[in-house]
Amino acid sequence: MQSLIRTDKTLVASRQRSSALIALGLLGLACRGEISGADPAAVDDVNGVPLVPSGAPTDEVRSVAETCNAAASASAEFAPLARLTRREYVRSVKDLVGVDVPLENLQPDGIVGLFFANVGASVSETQVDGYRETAEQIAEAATQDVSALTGCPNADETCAGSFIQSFGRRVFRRPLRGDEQAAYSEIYRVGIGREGFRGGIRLVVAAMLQSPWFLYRVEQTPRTAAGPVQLNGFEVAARLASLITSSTPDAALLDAAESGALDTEAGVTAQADRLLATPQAGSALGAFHSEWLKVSGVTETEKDLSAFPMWTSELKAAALAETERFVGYVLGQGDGKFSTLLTAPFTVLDPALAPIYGVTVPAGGGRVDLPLAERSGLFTQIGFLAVKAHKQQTSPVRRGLGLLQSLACISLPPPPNAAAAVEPSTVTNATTRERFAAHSANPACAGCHVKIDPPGFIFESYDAVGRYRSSENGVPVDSQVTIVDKDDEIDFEGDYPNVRALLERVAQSQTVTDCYATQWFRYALKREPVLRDACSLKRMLAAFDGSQGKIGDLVRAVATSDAFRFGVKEAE
Amino acid sequence: MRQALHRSSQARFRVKRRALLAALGASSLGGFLPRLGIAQAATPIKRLVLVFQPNGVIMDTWRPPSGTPAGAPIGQLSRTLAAFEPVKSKIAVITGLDQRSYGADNHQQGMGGLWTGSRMGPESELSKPAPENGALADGMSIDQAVAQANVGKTRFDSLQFQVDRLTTGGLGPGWMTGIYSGPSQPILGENNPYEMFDRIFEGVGSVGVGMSDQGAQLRAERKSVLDRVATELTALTGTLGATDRLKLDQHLTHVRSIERRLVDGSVMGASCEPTSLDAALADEKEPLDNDNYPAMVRLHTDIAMLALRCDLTRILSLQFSFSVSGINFKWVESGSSGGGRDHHEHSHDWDTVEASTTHLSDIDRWYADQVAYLAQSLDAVQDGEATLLDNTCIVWGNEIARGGHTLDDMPFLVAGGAAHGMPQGKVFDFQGTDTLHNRLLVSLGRGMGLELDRFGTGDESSGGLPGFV
Repeated sequence: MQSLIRTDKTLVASRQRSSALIALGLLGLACRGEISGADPAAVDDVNGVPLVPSGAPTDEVRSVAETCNAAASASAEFAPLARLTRREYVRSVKDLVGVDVPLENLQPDGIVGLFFANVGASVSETQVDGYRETAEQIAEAATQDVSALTGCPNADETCAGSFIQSFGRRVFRRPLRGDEQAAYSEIYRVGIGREGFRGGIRLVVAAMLQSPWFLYRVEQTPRTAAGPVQLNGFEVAARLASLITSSTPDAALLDAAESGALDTEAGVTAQADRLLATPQAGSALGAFHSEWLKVSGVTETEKDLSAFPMWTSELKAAALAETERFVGYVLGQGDGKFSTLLTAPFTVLDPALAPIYGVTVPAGGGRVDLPLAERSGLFTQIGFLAVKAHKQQTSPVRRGLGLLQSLACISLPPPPNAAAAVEPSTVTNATTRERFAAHSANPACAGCHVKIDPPGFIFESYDAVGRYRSSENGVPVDSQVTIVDKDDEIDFEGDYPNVRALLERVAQSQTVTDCYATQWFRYALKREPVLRDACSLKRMLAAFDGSQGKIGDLVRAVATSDAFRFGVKEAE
Repeated sequence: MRQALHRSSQARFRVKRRALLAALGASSLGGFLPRLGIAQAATPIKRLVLVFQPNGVIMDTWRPPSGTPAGAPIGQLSRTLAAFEPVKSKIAVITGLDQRSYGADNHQQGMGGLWTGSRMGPESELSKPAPENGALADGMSIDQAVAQANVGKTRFDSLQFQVDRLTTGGLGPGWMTGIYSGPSQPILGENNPYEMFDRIFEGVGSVGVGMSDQGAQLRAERKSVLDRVATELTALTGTLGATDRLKLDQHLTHVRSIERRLVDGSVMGASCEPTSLDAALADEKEPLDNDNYPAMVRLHTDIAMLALRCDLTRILSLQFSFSVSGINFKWVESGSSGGGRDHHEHSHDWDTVEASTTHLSDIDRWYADQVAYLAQSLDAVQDGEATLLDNTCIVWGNEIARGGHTLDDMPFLVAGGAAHGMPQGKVFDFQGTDTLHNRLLVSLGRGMGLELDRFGTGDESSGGLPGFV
């Protein structure tokens, strides 16, 4: 169990923790001095310093940031211009015009931590050309029934004008200015040269979907002030829609922005609550969890088909859907608690997954209860177990590392290149645990693998596609492990007989809940937390604790945090 | 109104560029006479092609038979490189170059450093495991340096072909591409050859609608849209800080380039008639299916060559898979003994399991065959007084040296490039000389007309590769 006052042991324990401690030394300064907003320049020296280079904030934030209060914590950090992720693009288009765009039509996203985000690299020409072509295709499909799209009785220029105004407001996430209205009216007039009214509307749709105001989440308010400044209502609305629905603001959210409601914390809370109750929220929050566990990669995970002939594209898609539907179910129909995600003895299944689980699935899919001893929430679902495995065999390393990364925010470096040939080949008549014994026997490996392998071995009850097994090659599976905390990073060290026992403990771990909150911060802000964010993080942790781990309360807390609602311009 | 926008449409569609072209009344792609032509010029037009293969090679079967001093004429080709026999007099086989490691995973450093000669960073990312490791190369790749010095000379300043990649989060972009337009600015290529063909050739010859009667309206529509996008980008740029300005400037550059291609009256290369691939394009296959990998590699290669022959670009990269590639090479000679394991899994047993050594060597030879096919095909095309191969410098590299995942003694092969001053029919072994591969990058740049003394972050010594330009 880590504590705020650390021992010498901790200081030399690892690079990561040392960095965290250095950050800790500055933390008090950050929360007391800064951030009154009186003299932002005075705190530039802490701006951009990573708060948690690796690991959860844990006690540092809980204990040191006590001076945070509403009046003194208007913190903000420069947020680079964010281009839509593939998911945001697809879901925005779906919400705007009801057209499904295949994800593979867009280029891969960049990353921030475990999450997709396009905040660093510039867009490629291939993608700009892809945006153009995809927009033309969407416009063609969306205007098949043009009167349904525009909603006005007459197919004339008046109708086009009102369509440009209302549709533009949705696409741009703000009302159009007069010159923009005129410019798109001119585009409409070019478009009527082909198929008249429909052609005009089609071209307007195609044009707006190529606009930087659609493709980027533009935030101009921070450029208007010297220090931290509250984002305008439309900018907050765009962040909120992205966070909770992975999409673009709906009309009600834009109305709230226009009325000034989103200028207050109460107004943001009200809209966050409204959005959290929508079906899109379940799906979008499900997607957070599939990225968090990298289950998102299951559709591109290959298996040796001679050993696992059931590993079809259909099954892979069902495995991704399982994780996202399960989260949506817990949030919408269940108790909404983080601990349930880790310990639920049920899941939400597509019939395609029935053979893997060995259960009967209702036609069309749905909730299925599972044996308590066999399954325990997200980490025992097909997606995690299969992504974190090899093609032919399990991978205690990937599973253990995945658990530590996602749940404890511990990022262990890649193995030294000289020792790269570490993954043992399949050798018959040996268990995976025996094959990996070299890790703890070899001192060069043991330093990291004494941490990684035990939380991986505990998953040995599941094969490379996630089927429960009690034996491997005729030898009973030994899932008993000892989790160690040699670098003072976690609070769930100890002996565990099986994965359920571990996950039930982990669900109550402060290390884990703090890490989980930090993961939400990364996802919501599309950046790493820095010192200035200490007070925002503290509030998130307090809200999460206060609601006994309700995910909705954590999401609402990040949405109402200063880090989320305020911005600051880039240091020039 | 709002109901309309919220309508629950069942209208699913899969974007099909070819379908769009047909719908707009374009001619089908079939039935044209081949009429390939290359602009004749007083001095030859020089091209650069970067080819990437992942996971290292088995050096024992890749390296030319030993005992040849640097710069010696090629004698017998190695087992792996046997397919280069017909163009043996036009290649340079290079071993013994090192790539500098900066603390990154070698797959990752090799992927980002191969064509940039630059370190991966930032430091804070390097210590993270793969799925959340966002490290990128700290410099541009040599092809982009050349492209940026030759803007607007052809329809595309450069093209990136990429066969196979992950998109759903297994690895960050730093593991997926070796091409960079600047520090931390990776360029991911197009991995769908059908999309790539249409993108390159729309409006060329009889392909697409660009030149048809319908095309006039379509060009007017696209002009109005792209002009508007450009106006908005320009206006926005002024309201943002330096980091964001760079992004929008890049975006604007791309919009202008697309506008030149799709809207401007004279399409560069438009007289070319690219019909030779009609059959392969009509037989559409799923690009990411493992079993289609050979067909995709061939189709991407053929499209790339067609783009060169039509002079639509002079700089391109052919990236065959990516670092840590998981292709299962069932189709090579030892494929059935692969035991269901993929390229990378075998590569870790490169020196310990004999069956893996053999299989990996077969994989290397398969890749060599693809590069040799490219070289031979270009050599069959007359280009002024010489062949297209003579005027094209093909460089074939790997992100690591061999299964042991080291970055020293990296395998390189240069094919063609007589016009660039590249050695022809020679063998070079730089082992023991501490020569970094950055100097090869310098030679590539010089061959394409850049005045370079050094390239990337990795080379304190200056100059091109000894024996090269």
